[in-house]
Amino acid sequence: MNIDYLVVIIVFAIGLYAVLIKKNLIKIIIGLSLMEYSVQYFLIATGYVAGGSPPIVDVPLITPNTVVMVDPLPQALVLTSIVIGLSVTALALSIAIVLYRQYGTLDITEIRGLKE
Amino acid sequence: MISPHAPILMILLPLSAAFISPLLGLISGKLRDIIPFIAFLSALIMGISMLSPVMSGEVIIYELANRSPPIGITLYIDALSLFAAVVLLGMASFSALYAIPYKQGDKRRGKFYTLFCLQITGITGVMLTGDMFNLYVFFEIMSVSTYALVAYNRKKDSAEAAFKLLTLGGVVSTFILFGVALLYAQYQTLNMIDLASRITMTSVDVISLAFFLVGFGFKAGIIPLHFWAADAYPAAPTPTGMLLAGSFKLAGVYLIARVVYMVFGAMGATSPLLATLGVLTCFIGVMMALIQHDFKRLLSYHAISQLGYIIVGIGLATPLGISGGLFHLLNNALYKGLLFLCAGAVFYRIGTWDLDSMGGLSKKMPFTTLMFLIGSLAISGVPPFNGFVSKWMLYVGSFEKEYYFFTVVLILASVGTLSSFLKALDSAFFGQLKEEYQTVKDVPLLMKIPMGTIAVVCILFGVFPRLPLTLVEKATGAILNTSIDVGAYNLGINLEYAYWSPVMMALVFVFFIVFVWLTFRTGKAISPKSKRTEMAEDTYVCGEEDYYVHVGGSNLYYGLLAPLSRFYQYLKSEHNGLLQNYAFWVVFTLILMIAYLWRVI
Repeated sequence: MNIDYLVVIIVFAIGLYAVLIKKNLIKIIIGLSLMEYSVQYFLIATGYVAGGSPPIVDVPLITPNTVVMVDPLPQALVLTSIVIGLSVTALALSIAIVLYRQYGTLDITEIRGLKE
Repeated sequence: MISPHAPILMILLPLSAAFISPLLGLISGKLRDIIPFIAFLSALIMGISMLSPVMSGEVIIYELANRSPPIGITLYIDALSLFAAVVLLGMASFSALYAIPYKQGDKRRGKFYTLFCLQITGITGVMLTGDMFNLYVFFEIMSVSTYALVAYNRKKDSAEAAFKLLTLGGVVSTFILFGVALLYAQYQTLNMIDLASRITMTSVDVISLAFFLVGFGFKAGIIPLHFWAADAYPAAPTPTGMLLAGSFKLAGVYLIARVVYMVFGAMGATSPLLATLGVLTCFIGVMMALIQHDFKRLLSYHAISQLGYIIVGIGLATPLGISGGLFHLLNNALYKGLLFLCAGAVFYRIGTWDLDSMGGLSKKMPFTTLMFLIGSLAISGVPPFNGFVSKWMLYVGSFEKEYYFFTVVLILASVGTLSSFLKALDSAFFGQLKEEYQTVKDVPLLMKIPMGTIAVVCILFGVFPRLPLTLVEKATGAILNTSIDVGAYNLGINLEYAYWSPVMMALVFVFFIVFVWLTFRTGKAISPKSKRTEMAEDTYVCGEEDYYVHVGGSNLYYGLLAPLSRFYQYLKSEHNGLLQNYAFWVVFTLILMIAYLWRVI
């Protein structure tokens, strides 16, 4: 069992815990971000090769047989994923502001206008 | 004549419209309003131009930047994805056309159009992509713009619905990303075709599959992942609400068919689970709809309930079942769109969603009433409208799969649908006209065009179901990887135990209408006394003291539902508006899926 994967699972679980248990809107948003970060970490970890160099190809010097590079694709994916995560967090925070203005509270258990 | 770049243009046109329309807004407001419609329509034409080669069995694989798979990113267009994309873009065009007059008075509408275009970009992208990671990216474009659209009105309920949707959707998105990452970690590829040939259903694959099932099920709105839907559909602006309820779930259902069935090849393992969840969705959705007072919320629970039918169809995993499910998807997009547009038209004129405060609008808005009538008959599965054909296929499909109990529940849910639409029709359009609505007029022409067109298509598809079914059968063929002949059998016509003919039914219906009309004309009209009684128990009074007392929408089925009060107490305690409860159900479903798949595979 790789230590990376253990960290991923722990961080993911903490994030999920925050979403499930915490009542404060901001803490819920932090939980969401934590879940995202854990998955991004997982993606990076899958592409990592022990002792590999950064995936920057310097064309004249490229010698694929001697230099081991880490897998560049997950890094590209994670960049995209970070941008998406950022926009979701920003949107969540702005909605939280609107909610605070409307309800005067950040407690999610009191924001229950819509039911049944 | 097909442009070789038609696949990417289907995504690019709405995307560029998202940014061109606010720019043009600086010059002219009118120009900006019409840009989304033009973009969706031209994307639709791109899709239609690819219909003939794709429907003849060709699969178009468009390589972005000329890099071949598995390294390059591809768009993968087969009958299923094209079918879904064409239905979506068609409905999006109607919605954009309707939005022009509907949003006229809104100062901030430029933002609405941008988000709207982005949402359509996301959904189209999800349907056309052939790459798991791009699927995630498009999925997020779709989701983020949807969150923003739901929050668009900046009212109390829209902000609340948006936050709940965003939190749950955010959790689900990480599930999907996790699923993609798990696949990549094992197979070092993200190309769908590549993955499909390499997936061996290891234990990691099972977890990944469960993540995907929860993610896509959430977007579709399967019970118990449906809680966001009833909040979000009414909170969003009507043109979006219409798309959310009718076409947005296209994406969820499409992804279940594409990823779960085609990439994972897990049809045998997942289909009984899907069918069961579908029946539950269908039943609980309609039960919740029966007790609603709010026009849009009622429609939203029906949207959930109709999704149940589609999932049952997909879960039957037989040619008849899947064609029925996909055809119902198309029909649902149509009539659900029509109903939302009618509700929007009523709101546009009288400014309320509360069924109890409406009444007698048929006199003032005859066109909208007729459209709503057609929509309700179609959604309730009354022949000769399109809802009947697909529901019939599902009944026969579940019957032939020997899920007899499911057939019974599906028929019962259909009865519930009809009764709750009778309630809505009665509350909003029939009965006594309220004093304050004496000056109400019918909606402007630009809103009538999309409504009228959808209604005509509803009838057309009901009377001549072969027309759309040729497409549907090809899409089904793509899922099952066989070719299916359009025949009497596939329609469920001419079975050993049942027979029906769409044209005959249409004739009977027309005859019936003529008969009623003649009766109405030859009979003697009783002039209504313009006396209005103000009594708390309107429902009870009806028919005993005064002919013209309006029946309160909320209590029409009191006697029917009273024995079920304990069941309703439980349902209400689950739909309690508490985010944690909803999030718990998402996690619970994930655990359930993993446990189930672990046992089966």
